[in-house]
Amino acid sequence: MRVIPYVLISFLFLVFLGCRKQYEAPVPYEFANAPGAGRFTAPVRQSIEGVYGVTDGAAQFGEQVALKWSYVLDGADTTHFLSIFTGVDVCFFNLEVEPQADILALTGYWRKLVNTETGRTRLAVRVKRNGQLQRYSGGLTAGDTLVLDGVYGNRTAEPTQKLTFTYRRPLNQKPFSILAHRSGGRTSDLLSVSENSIEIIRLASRLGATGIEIDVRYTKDGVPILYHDNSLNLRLIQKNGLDGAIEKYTYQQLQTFVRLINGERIPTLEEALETILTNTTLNFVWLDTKYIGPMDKVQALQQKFRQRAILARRDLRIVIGLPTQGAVDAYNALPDKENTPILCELDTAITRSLNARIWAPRWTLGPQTEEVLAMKSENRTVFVWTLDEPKFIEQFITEGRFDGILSNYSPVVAYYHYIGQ
Amino acid sequence: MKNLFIVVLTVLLAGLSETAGAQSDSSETKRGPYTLVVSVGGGLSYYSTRLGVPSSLEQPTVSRFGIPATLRVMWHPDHRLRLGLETGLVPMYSYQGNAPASRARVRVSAIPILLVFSMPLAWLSGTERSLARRLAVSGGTGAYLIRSHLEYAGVVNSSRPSVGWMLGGSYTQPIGRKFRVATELKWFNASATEDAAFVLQLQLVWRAFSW
Amino acid sequence: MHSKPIRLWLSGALLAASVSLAAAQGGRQPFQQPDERQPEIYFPQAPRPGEWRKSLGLIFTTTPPELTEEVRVSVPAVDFNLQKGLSKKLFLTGRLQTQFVQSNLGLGLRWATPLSDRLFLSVGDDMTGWFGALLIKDVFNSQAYGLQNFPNLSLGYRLNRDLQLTVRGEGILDMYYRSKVGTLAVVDNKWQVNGFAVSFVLEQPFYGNQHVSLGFRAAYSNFNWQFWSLYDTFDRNLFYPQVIFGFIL
Repeated sequence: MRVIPYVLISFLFLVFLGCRKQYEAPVPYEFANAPGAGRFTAPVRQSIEGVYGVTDGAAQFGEQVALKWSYVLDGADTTHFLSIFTGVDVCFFNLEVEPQADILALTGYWRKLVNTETGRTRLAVRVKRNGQLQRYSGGLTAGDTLVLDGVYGNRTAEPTQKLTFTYRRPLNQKPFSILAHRSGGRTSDLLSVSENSIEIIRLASRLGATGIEIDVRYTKDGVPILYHDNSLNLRLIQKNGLDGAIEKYTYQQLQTFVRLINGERIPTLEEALETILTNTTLNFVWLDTKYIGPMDKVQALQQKFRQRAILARRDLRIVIGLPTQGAVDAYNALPDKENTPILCELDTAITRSLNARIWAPRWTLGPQTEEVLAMKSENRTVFVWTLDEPKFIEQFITEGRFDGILSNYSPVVAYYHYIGQ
Repeated sequence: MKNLFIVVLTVLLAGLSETAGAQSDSSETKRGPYTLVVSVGGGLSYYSTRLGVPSSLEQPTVSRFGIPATLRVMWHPDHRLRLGLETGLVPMYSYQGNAPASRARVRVSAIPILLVFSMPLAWLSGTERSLARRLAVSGGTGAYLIRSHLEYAGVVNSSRPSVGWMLGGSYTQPIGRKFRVATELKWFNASATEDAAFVLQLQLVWRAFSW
Repeated sequence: MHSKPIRLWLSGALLAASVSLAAAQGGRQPFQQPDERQPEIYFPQAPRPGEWRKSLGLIFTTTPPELTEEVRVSVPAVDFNLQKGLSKKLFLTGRLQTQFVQSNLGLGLRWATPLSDRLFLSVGDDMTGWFGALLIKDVFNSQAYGLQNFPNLSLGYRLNRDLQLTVRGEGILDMYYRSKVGTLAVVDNKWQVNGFAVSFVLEQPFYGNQHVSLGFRAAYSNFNWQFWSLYDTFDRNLFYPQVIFGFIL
């Protein structure tokens, strides 16, 4: 029966095609997003932040972690979240307070960004006093040690595996910019929200970011919007039949037909800046120039929101990134460059000629120690971009010469920065 | 789609094997004639994969059928394997519906630019009387220029290249020394844009010249 | 919604055509055993002891969207194979793939045996070393190199006198990785499974006496040396489809 070999080969082909896996990492926990912090008063929250040793769960999350609070503002409401950054597989925890609990309790999920591992977790904050774990409600005395203990699980399963974090020391307080790429992170890391969306801007702080880089383009009718790629494509948007450069479409057409990969609308730059200013605590915005053409509309929005930040007493720097000679030309063509902070991604000579206060070389050029020290001696800030490789992030931070790192993996940058001594 | 892969692969392998005895030794040292063959064809296409209609459109209507055209130039050396280039126009799909401002229409089509390999199921040095000699499978790789047309609050014609593949099976009937008529079933797949269509075509095959 | 039944119908029609064709042709024309070997590189048959065989061609790798995002292209690499028979069943394999700024050199040993007059089998192991360097003003000052190991198993089937099919499965193991940017370097020297690959390759005469290898290789792997400069951070197997075309010299 000569048919058998072909059936076998065909079967093998089927098996091989079947091995192509579709990766997904849905968030296994639904946040209540309740305003306030419940029993987690400001002093309690402050006391919880720090570097902790991992007693139970070290195989999954590493030997130590960094705990940091963030919050989102919605009008008069403030919603607090605790983030835990680990040094393993770009893993982070997002936790919200449990307002109904009669102890200091947190619940949420963990996720490893390099793969699809995720799960739910519940933790309680307690204090170890005289060798005994006791209820904690604030007020530490000498010899007390904070302990967060609880359970974690995989995916949506009920958490059962033991997890214990024991306080070691405060977070590294040295100023350092943790800048999240594409408004918070990449779509290819299977985040629950799309890159360059309003939703990811609101999430960025919980991923460890102190600032964000956002990609600015123009619609056909001249509306500055957030979009990274040159064309509409299935990496970023849901399938709709539209293709080609986003600049060929009007704002109305995009609003009607285009949804980002997780269902969000493409935001305007104005909406994005409004969100950053009024809903987040982010203190740095890097407006990456993806467009070719006049810069005046972006400059106008930059100036408007800088002014509003000053009036709101908000610590917020908004700078225009110049990644190409074309962007430099567009900047040079502006009739008035007052109140237009810029960041130059080109070489040091161009940075000096533009008198940019921030220089941002590519990380693939290495630490460039001589150039970095020279630029810093001229009171310029130096960032490096877009650095995602965890081992190199560790080395760049350990060397300590840069003022910040732009990364898709802000949880890793946060981890290595905060555990620094 | 995987089932189709399996079936086409089985057709290819079974056909190639079962006709083995009908062949001459194709690795003889003396070279046979080389021929340049030009095919033009048209037929019916069917969009075979998921399409996306925005939820903002009310009462949408969708069309998956179209009329494709193909131009293929192949070099037929003196053995089984043939090599050539293919282009044409493949309608993918269209939809329309009521959007907030007006009626909206979207049309998607592709221009394949493919390097094509083809093999008859049998390789005979003599006539084309054998059924298996008239049956051929082809596979191609290259680019598709995906074109989209939007009519809503203005007209936007746009295009973008996408890597992609093609797989086909054909039957060719001789109708003279220089001409053949062929029918071919093809599957086009533009992988970057996730567009795929089956195409059934009638083709005129012209053996342009031999040397 | 209605596309699946039509696809099934088409699949059924093609299957019926296939079976009919096989039935029509089967038994009437028995297979003729080739009286000599065909030129081959992938087919699992050892060269005669002391005999060299080689091929030169191109491998096109389609870039995975996870790494190159909206840029989806087929990247060509020059592919040179060199093999030498050591004994009746044992042979050495050597392979160089290069894109000039990055190259991969492999050395391996393979043991091949016929299972029947049509069916052949080989098992082997290839050790490859890759190296890449990019020095571009304001963009790259980077180098990387590494070692990978590919245990492999091939099944070859003589479809007829001039056409040979090889199906090859490979495991991909990472053994060493070193990456350097400027003065900083990171090293990973843990042995770990990186992925696997399956190839389907046809070998046959093309024109005159020139034989070719034409095939498709699908690799599912965590790391691919050709894309070292994209600094893949994903711990997931990505899909790397490859088209293989080589002239057997």
